This record gives sequence, structure tokens and C-alpha cells, in this order.
Amino acid sequence: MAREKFQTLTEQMFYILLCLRQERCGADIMAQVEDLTRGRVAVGPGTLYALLESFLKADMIRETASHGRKRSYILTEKGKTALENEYRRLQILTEDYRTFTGEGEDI
Amino acid sequence: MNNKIYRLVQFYLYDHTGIQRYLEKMAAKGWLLDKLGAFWRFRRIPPQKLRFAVTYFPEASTYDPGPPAGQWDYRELCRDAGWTHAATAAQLQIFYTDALDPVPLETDPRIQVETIHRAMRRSQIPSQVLLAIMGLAELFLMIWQYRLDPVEWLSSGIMFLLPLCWIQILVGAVVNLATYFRWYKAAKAAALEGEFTPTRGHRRLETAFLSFSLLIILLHLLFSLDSRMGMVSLLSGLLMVGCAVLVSIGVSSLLKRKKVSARVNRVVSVLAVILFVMVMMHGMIALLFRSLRGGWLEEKRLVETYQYNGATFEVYGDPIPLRIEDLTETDYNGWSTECRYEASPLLARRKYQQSPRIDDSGYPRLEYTVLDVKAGFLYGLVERCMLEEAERHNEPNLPEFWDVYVSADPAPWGAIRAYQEQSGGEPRSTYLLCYEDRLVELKLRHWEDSPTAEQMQVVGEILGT
Repeated sequence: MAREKFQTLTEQMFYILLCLRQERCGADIMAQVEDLTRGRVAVGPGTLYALLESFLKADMIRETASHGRKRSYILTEKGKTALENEYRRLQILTEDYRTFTGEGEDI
Repeated sequence: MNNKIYRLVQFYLYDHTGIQRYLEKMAAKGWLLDKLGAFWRFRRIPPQKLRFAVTYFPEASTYDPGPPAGQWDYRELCRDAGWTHAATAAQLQIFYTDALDPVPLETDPRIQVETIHRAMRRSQIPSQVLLAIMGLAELFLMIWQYRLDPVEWLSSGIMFLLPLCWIQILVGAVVNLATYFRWYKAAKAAALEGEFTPTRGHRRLETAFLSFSLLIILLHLLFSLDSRMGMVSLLSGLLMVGCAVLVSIGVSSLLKRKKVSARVNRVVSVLAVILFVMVMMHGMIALLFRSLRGGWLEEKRLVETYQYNGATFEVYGDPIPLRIEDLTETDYNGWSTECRYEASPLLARRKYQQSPRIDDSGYPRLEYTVLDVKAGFLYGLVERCMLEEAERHNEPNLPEFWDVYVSADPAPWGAIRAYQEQSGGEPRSTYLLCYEDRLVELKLRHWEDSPTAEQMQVVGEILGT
């Protein structure tokens, strides 16, 4: 069955949505993601632009302000739900990992 | 010292890796790209190591009055990340940075591949498919024209070159599409694994195609050197194409300055070019006819004109190798002699005729075509075509009235083979004579008797070598 768009999130998508739990502009998002992940995950401006446009189209974020060319965004309810769903999915993966490795069972 | 230079740069639109490498080399030599167009403009900078990034904005169009709002936002994000905008042309955007380890513009290969594909779907793919279809259609048309009259086709220098043009256009379009889809398929698969796929440059191929186009134009010029009409046709064609491009750019630029929408700009620009081409063609045809009548383009030597029954007729004095006077005694001196010459690297065709004035009846007429076969392997084909030419219009008639060539004695003509035309079984004074590397079609109109052995010998001596 074809996977629905944003049914699972890439790392970059996840961290962008996470940052947008608060109102932020593009430059802040790039800096925040790098801080949060201690440089492990970097979001390039080209990728960020494309993802912000996709999230806008999917109503996962909305634009809150525009100062010159700097646009700010924040999560919508749909975006929060998508983020929470991804968090739960990752939790399930983590628990499954603990279950199997904790009992020492060979797969 | 020049602070700006222009370069004609050939890259496929999707070849971001190749473009990046080229621009980095130019920066290392002290030249920074500052404008994209038919020619890329560079300005002088101190030679330095710069990183370039090529990205695509699929929603942009060459007809946009200015960068779409989103494109400004895009550039702002890039600026925040330390990338400076160098130049943009429609969907192609180029940025650079002097940072040693900058965050790349694209950090998600799936998004990069998808963006490039959207840009290609909107511009390159449709245009290249259209070019390929046009190339195929033109080649089919030429094959059809060839089958109609192979001798006409083989003896025309222009018809010899046109297929080369269209083959190049077709191959160029197919190669462009094939190399793109090969990269796209590999890049899509690699992107699923989180990997970027660089593009493989085909600059040499693009340069080869461009060089081939210039060679075809040069060859066309060479083939037209002995034909004023051919030269004028070529130069007119090039002028028309050049002016049409300038009209398109001019109208489009004007409408952009007036902030007209991209859609209206595209429609008006295309209509302007169509109108221009129509006007130019009408004007050129009118000028051509006037030049022909006026004698400037006329390649035949006009001796005089005369009136007969309200119409004007011309008398020409072109030099011809075989004259009626070589075959029979005559005191008539009102002959008009004409020569028409066409040649390609494969076949040369000279058509000659000698005829009396319309108002002088009772004099013979001489027509002959000399075909010099330069490519030996075509001799059989040309001979067959000339024999079949006589039968071309037989179909609606009953077989007993058909025209056909039958074998004749070649010896009196000094030929290898000879044929005489028959119409409904009756011999006509039309002959096809085969010599080494040459065929001659001879028509003796309004001659009282069939040619004598002496006359045949004269024909063979003059035309057979």
C-alpha cells in the first residue's frame, strides 16, 4: 500500500516541526536544529524552503508574520498531531528494541 | 584590462555538478559569474577558492516580470545560511560562498531529486520531446521526398545537408533526455538510501553538437558559393532566425519591464515571433521575385526580351557545351540557351536547353541533362531512377500507351549503354546514354529525322567525357 505523505517523517522534517512548536523564522530554524542535535542534523536552506512550502500546503504549519523577506511560522493542530504520531512511532521502535535486546532473544 | 568577459557555456539544465565545477574553476582563475543568459557574463575578482551551489526553482519562468515572491524568500534563507546569490535564469539559480565548510543548500537528496525533476518536467522535457518529434517528422518527410525523386534530392547540396541538421537535432534531444532519465533513475534510488548522486557532465558532447551545427552552416555556404540564389537563401534564412530570436527576447524583456504576467508575456512573445516570421517571409519572397525580374538574382544571362500575344518572353545566352549548330546546319540566330546547375558531394546535375523564339516556328529544340555521379555506388540507382522517370505518368493510361525506355545500340554514341524512349510502342527522340561516371538524357524536340550516326558521334564526343 502506498505510504501517505508525512506518515513517517525524516529527521529533518521531525526537527523542523519540533522547532516550530514555537514561532520561528527560517534562519532560526536552521540554527535551532543544529543546536538541538549538536550539529548531527543540518538543514540546508534549499531543503528548508521546500519542506516549509510542503508543510504549508499540508496545513501542518501556518505563517504568523512577515518582516521584509523574513517569514515566521508555527505549528498548526494538524502539525502537532503529525509530530506526536511520529514521536509515538519512534517510542514503539525504542520499546521493541528494548524488548528484544533486553531479553537477549535472537531474532 | 577587461573587467567583464562573456562565455558561451554548454551544460544540460540538470547538470548541477558540472556547472558547479566549472564555476569553481573560473573563480580560481579570478572570474565570478554575475549574469546568466545565452552567454554567461563573468566579472573580475581576485582568484579565490569559492564553493558554488546550483539549485532549481521549478515555479519560475523566463517570462516572469521579476523573481516570484517565493524566490526572494529562497534567496533570503540562503543568505542567512551564508550563501550569496550569483545569478538566476528562469528556473536555474546559482549561489556561492567562501566559507570553508558551509551547510550545503540541499541536505535531503529526495527533495533535491524531486525539485530537479519538477523543473525538468516544466521546461526541458517538453521542449526536448517536441524537438525529437520534429526531428523525426522532418526525417520522414525527407525520406518521402527522396523516394519521390531521388535524383533531384541527391543533386541538391541543401537537401544533402538538411537531414544532417535534423539528425543532429533528433540525436541531441534524445541524448539530452536519455542522460537525464538515466541520472534521475539512479538518483531516485540513491536518495532512498539518503545519498546524493552527482551528475555526469556531457559538455564535450554539447560542444560537439554546436561545432557540428556550425560545420553544417559552413558547408551550406560552400555549396552555395557558385549560386547567388543559394547564398541569398542561406543568408536570408540565418538573418530571419537571428531576427526572430531578437524579437522574442526584445518583446519578452519589454513586457517584463512593464510587469506583465508570465502567462501573457509568453503568449504575446510567441505571437510576436509568428507575426514577424510571416511578415519577413512575405517580404523576402516579394524581394526575391523583384530581384529575379530585375536580374540581380537571375543566374541566367539575359540577352533580350520580346512581346508575343501580350506576354513577355526572355532570350538567354548561357554557355552550353552542345549546340544545335554542332549537330546540323542552320542559319537561325535567335536561339535562347539556358543552363541550370545543382550539385552535392554525391551528384552534380546540369540541365541545358537551346530553343528558338516563341514567334519563330519550324526550328528544332534541344534539351539535355548531364548527371555526373561522384559517388560510384550511386550510379546504378541514378540510372534506374532516370529509366523509371519515363514511366512515372503511365498509371492512368492503358499499357499500350505507356512510355518506356528500351535498350538501344550504345556504340554510335560512344557509350557503355544506351536507351531510347518509346511511347505506345513508337520511338521518340529521347535518349538515355550511360558513360563512365556520367549519364546524359538527351531530348531532340521538333527534329525532322532521327539522329544520324555522325550526330550521335558528336554528342558522345562533346557530352560523353
